[in-house]
Amino acid sequence: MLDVKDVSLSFAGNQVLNGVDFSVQSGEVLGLIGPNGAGKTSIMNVITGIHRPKEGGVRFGDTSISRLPPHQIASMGLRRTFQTSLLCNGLSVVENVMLGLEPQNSYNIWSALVAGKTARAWENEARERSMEMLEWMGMARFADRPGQSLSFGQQRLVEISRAMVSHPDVLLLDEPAVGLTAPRVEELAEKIKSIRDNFGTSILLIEHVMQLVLSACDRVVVMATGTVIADGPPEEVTRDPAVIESYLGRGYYVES
Amino acid sequence: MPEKIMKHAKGWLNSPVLPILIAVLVGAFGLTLNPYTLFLLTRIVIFVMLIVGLNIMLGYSGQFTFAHAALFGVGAYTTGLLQVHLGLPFVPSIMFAVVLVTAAGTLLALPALRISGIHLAIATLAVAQAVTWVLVNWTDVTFGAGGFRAPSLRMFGMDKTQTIFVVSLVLTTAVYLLVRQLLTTSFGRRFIAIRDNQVAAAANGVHVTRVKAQAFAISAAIAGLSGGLYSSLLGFVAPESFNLEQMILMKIMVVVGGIGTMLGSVIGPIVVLTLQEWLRDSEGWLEIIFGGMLVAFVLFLPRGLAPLILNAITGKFRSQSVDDAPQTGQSLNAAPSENRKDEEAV
Amino acid sequence: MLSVLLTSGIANGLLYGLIALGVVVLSKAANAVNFSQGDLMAVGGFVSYSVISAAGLGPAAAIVAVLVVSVVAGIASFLILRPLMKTEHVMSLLIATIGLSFLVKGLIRLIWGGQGDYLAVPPLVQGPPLILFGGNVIIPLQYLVMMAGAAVIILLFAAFFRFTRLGLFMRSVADNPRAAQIVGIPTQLVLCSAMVLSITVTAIAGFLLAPATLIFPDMGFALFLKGFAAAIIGGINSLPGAIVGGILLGVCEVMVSGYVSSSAQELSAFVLIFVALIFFPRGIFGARKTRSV
Repeated sequence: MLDVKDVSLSFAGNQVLNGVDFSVQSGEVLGLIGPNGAGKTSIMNVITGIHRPKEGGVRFGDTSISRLPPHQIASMGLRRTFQTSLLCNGLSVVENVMLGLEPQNSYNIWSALVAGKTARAWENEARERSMEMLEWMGMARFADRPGQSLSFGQQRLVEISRAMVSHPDVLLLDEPAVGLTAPRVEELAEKIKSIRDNFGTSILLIEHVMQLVLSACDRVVVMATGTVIADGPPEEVTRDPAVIESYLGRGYYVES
Repeated sequence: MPEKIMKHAKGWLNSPVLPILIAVLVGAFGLTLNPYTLFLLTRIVIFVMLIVGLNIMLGYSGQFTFAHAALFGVGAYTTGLLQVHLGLPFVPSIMFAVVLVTAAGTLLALPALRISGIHLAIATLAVAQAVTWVLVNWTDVTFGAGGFRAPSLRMFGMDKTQTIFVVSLVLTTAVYLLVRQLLTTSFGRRFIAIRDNQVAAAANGVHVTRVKAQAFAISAAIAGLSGGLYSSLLGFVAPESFNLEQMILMKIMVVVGGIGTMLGSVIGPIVVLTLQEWLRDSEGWLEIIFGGMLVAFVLFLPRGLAPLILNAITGKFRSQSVDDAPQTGQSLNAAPSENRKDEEAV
Repeated sequence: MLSVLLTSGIANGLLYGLIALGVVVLSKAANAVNFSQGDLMAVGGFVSYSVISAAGLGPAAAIVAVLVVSVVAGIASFLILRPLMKTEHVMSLLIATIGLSFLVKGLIRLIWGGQGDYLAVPPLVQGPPLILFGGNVIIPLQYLVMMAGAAVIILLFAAFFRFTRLGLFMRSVADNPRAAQIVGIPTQLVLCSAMVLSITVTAIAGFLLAPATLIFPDMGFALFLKGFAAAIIGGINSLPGAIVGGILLGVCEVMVSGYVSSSAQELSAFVLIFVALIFFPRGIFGARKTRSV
């Protein structure tokens, strides 16, 4: 589905990624963990076209996407959320979600200027689909509120709704559990799994909260200092001595 | 019951009926005025159009540029000079001016693709200064610092001020309604998205480059149109009508009216131009008062007058989306969110 | 011809460099740009006019007066702009300083406006030009004074940052404002001194420039623009870069005015600013940083 092949990236001579190699299979939830500075967010930025890799490439289905601009990658069905919630403050919640449908929008400026038929039809459809998505996320009651008036966790759900409203093939989540309490993390894990079950979306999840990784992910890739050091099912990976050494710490063991 | 009235009020504010009604009233009132007062009123009408366009760039899509006075000037010069040098009639001249200024404005979007914020502000300022330089120094064509006499439009047996007043009023109302409509659609949302968050916009499939170019083009087209009308109103076109000081006055209109609101684009020019007329002959006081006003608004009323007036009309303390176009909720001071108390939903 | 052009270019360039120093100091310590800087430079010129021409006192008195006025103006600007001096308010701050610029210009017009549009300040020192290399190089004394004055200011500036406690504070706030606050550096004091310093150095530039040109209320803005350009060329955060950028700009300008046409001089500055901003936004000497998005 999504293949990251030998990706290297450096900033001002500083090697951030060094031959990163993994792939997301169709319909799986893949966790990507690793210590701070391992290059997790960088690899996500490479996948979504924000950074161009120095070497290597990213394939999405049969197409190479590592030279494409972000908006084009997004319109191919690959969406993401950000570490710090990035809702647009000037838009209401539902308008933020409607933004996710932009690539499907095809009416021209003349139709928009005079509220022509195509414009109105599309606007109605977009609003309807966005409301459906919000409904599914349990956020419909906030639809007309400004994005910034919601709590952090709520904004995160709106952001996921925005990424999911176009029913993309791949969803990338960058630390969605930051700042959530344990019961909320459980709920989020359920949500992520049901996104996969409902929409058939493959998910790449960057996370530090191991609780979420263990309960949501089918497979886990571990990165450290710009390379992949382990790749396998969660139970296996968490027992890997190299992973314990570099990331989980000696005190960590799985209670299962 | 109050709920219902609120809804009603909202519907009224959002329908095209109210602006058209106001325009008709202003038109009827304007035609009874003496030429000088009508001149001032027409100036306000033309500036409303200009500021509606400027607000698209500044308020909605967040592109902080300084070239608007120059674009306005190129519109005025082109319209006037085509009539003077080539003897073209007014209508084709102003149409050509709109096309030219739109093209120039779109070109101006190119630097905005590379730089933003203060760098963009200063770069466009340099462009604007260069345009002023050309207006002053290319004397063969532009008649230099002294300016030139631009022909005035006359139609329907009205005198020249009345003609340009009626034409401007009709076009301003049309531009206002069209832009307001545009901003409620996907185009408006994209503008706001690239202002609030370019990265997120791009990650959701918004073609940031194209949207910026659109914002610049639309804004410039309006500047060209209003510039052409202004040349006909003034009857005399000179570089100082389009210099940096005028640009700053335009900024003041946007901030005082309310950055990123349609209503603000109407209020700003009214307040600023009326004040300017009062302070016309005061050595230095005009700048002191306008400068002080700009500082005070940024510090104490960053959302401008529009939200105050809207709240007064709807009688509600904090309205959510009463403004005609999507409420941008933008404050220059990035006001902290007020409604954080709501329950966690995750 | 060339030598006169070069010296006047370098002299002007040093003054642009001084304005650029003001830009850099403020940008480093407060991440701010002050639009009214150019107008405060004009204030420097007008104050020295009042002291030298109107009151008939010497240059020393003028320097003291300029210093007093600029410190007062700096503190006042700081107090007015303090709520906006945070990273998230950069653009609001910029707009507010545009307001201040208007305000200062209005004040100049109010105070000095009634005395004709253009005022002349007598030269600080009178004497024959300096002739070097058997007449091959001629340097007008006025330019020599300008250069010497600018050089002194630059040295004082460097010494301030290197050897004083406040200078050290300012450097650390520039490096990392939050960390500086946490370890107990008085951030507000630093911001205030950055503002005062920025305005003082600009006003002194105005004092040095005044005898070489005619002064008028609207003179400030173009000068600020040039100073800003010099700062950009030098890589907005580098103090030596600001001086070099200023000299480059000054020399470029006089070359255009000498060999192309004098009216093209202004235009060349704008073109240079534009080119510098678009193609070298991190300065000619600044490191190229990878841009994300």
